[in-house]
Amino acid sequence: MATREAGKKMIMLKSPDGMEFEVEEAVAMESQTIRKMIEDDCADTAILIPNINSKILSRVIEYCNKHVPTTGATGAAASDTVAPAALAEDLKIWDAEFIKVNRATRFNLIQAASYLNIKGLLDLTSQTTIDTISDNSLEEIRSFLSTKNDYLPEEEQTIRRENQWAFQ
Amino acid sequence: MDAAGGGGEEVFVNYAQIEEYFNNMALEGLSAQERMDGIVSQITSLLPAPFVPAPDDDDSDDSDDDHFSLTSSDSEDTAADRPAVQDGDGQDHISRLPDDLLSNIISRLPTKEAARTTVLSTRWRCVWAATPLLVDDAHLRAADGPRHFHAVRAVSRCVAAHPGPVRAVRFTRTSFYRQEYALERLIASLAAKKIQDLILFNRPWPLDMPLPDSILGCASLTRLYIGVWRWRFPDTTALRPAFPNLEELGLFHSIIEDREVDALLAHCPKLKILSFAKFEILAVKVRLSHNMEVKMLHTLLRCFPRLETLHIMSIQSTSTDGVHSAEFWESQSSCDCLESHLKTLVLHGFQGLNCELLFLGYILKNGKVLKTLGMVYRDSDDVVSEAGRMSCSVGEGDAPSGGSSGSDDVVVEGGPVSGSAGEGNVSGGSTGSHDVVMEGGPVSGSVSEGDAPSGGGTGSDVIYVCPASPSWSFQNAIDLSVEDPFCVLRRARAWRASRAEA
Repeated sequence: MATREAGKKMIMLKSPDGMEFEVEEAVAMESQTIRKMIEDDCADTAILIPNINSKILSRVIEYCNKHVPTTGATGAAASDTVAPAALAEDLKIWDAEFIKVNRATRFNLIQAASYLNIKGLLDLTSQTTIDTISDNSLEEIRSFLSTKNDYLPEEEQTIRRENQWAFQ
Repeated sequence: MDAAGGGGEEVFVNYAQIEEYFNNMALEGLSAQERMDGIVSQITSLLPAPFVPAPDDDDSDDSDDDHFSLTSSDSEDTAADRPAVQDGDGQDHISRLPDDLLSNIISRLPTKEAARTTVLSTRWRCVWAATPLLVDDAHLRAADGPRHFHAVRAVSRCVAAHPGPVRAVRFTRTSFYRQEYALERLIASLAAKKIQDLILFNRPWPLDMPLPDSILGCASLTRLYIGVWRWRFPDTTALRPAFPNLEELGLFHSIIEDREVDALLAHCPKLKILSFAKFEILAVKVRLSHNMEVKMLHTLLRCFPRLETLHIMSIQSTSTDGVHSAEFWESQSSCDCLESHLKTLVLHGFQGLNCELLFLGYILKNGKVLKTLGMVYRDSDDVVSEAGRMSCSVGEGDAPSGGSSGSDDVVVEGGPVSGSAGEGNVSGGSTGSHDVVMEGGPVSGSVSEGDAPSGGGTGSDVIYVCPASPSWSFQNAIDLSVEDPFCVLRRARAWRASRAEA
């Protein structure tokens, strides 16, 4: 536990590949999972984040840094003078840039957001996946999702018939 | 995209603004039905947001088959150019995601698209079946076109096809007229599938369609919003509450009597949020001489039980069938708003016609809490001459025929009766149970000042009779600082109708 600035409690996050990230407690607590650990006093030393490699974890921290509610006069103090609507718009633009990643990274981010319980990031990553698979044909979606069609042709026809209302 | 905005360019943040918008439409000469249709999309925007925004909020555009087809694999050769699809690196990422994350993704898809994922692979099919069903009628209307679309049937098919529980069903674009049986069956099947969240908004008309009784079987509901229904909640004390889990209840524009609300609330032990959305101000443009429109007016009054201010804009008509009108108003019972809420009535375009007096008589007879009555003549330039004509008819004793007095004596003590249009109304509007004496006071003076005078009687206390200044300007109507944009009652110059001291 280190204290970089007065009044800012720092938390150490460790990825399984040995990288350590020092983040403000408020930023780390964007994750409900980490918040629970901190509140339950399980965070005396560094918190190990299993299953999330350093590359993904750094992206997650980047997201949390941006989305942590700004307080006080330090850091993103500009937000004090910016209207909430403009701030939200700014965040939206930032999110759109943030999520421009390849799909492997995106699926990893979905998993990380799910494990760390960061609702905003889960919404963003899932919704982006939805948006991407909209406007595409079945084969393209299978390809995008790396999903193998394991139906026999007649099986697929049966399923289409059963849910005909959805294919009209 | 405004989640449920319905394509209107106006944005409303609260119910009062919608109410005002609704009433403003009267100024544009739209019928009550057109106006109701016009505001429904605005009212639905006050409902809890949809889980998934509708693919296209514009009702007229139903060509959503063009995107996310999931139906053909060979028709879109050019689509392969899209970068999002091309960044694959050959690894099967999606299979690494646990089922609950796939479920999360499916639950973000519109109803049809979610079901179409079943053909992706056996795994997706299982995940769809395990994902609690979300149905939104806004997602379903497509191929058939809005005109021939049978929403209840479509939702029923969807619910029947899904094996698992139903999380939410949202109807905001469907008129259930003549679909009572199908709806009853659908709600019964939703009850069997443990529906948690139901939004059932009847696209008018009619305004007083009975809500199916099978709703009482939906014990799993945690949230229920109904709009534009007549809910006859049974007045029974069942052993177990009908809605033991209900936390949020919204009754929008629904006719439910006070005692029925009491009975309903007794069935919701866990209720935390209760919202009523009702009009308190209503403006209606109506031909009081037309039987159909008069009946519609009465229905409207029943549909707005919390109405506090009513503006009637009387339109002149060539055909007059006032005889029927007399029978109609005399035969009608009171309604909730008259019993306990309506405090102000303003009659615009008043011409002193028999049918207008009959209507006034009905309101005055039944309006238990009516406090203020305002009149605006058809053409404000015409006020004096109109008033003159009116006073003549009063003098000749015509107006009292409009008075649907029950059995009580009404004494009109009109000092300056001559030249007093207001007096005519006084006799036209009699009371149900009290003797009322109207003091003419400054009536004639008021007429000569160009104001539209009026009079009234009541069953209780005192009615203030106000000359009203016609303020049907759009500027006034949209000025939020004006308490009631349709009329400025000149209370300063109001005179009093007081009860006789025997």
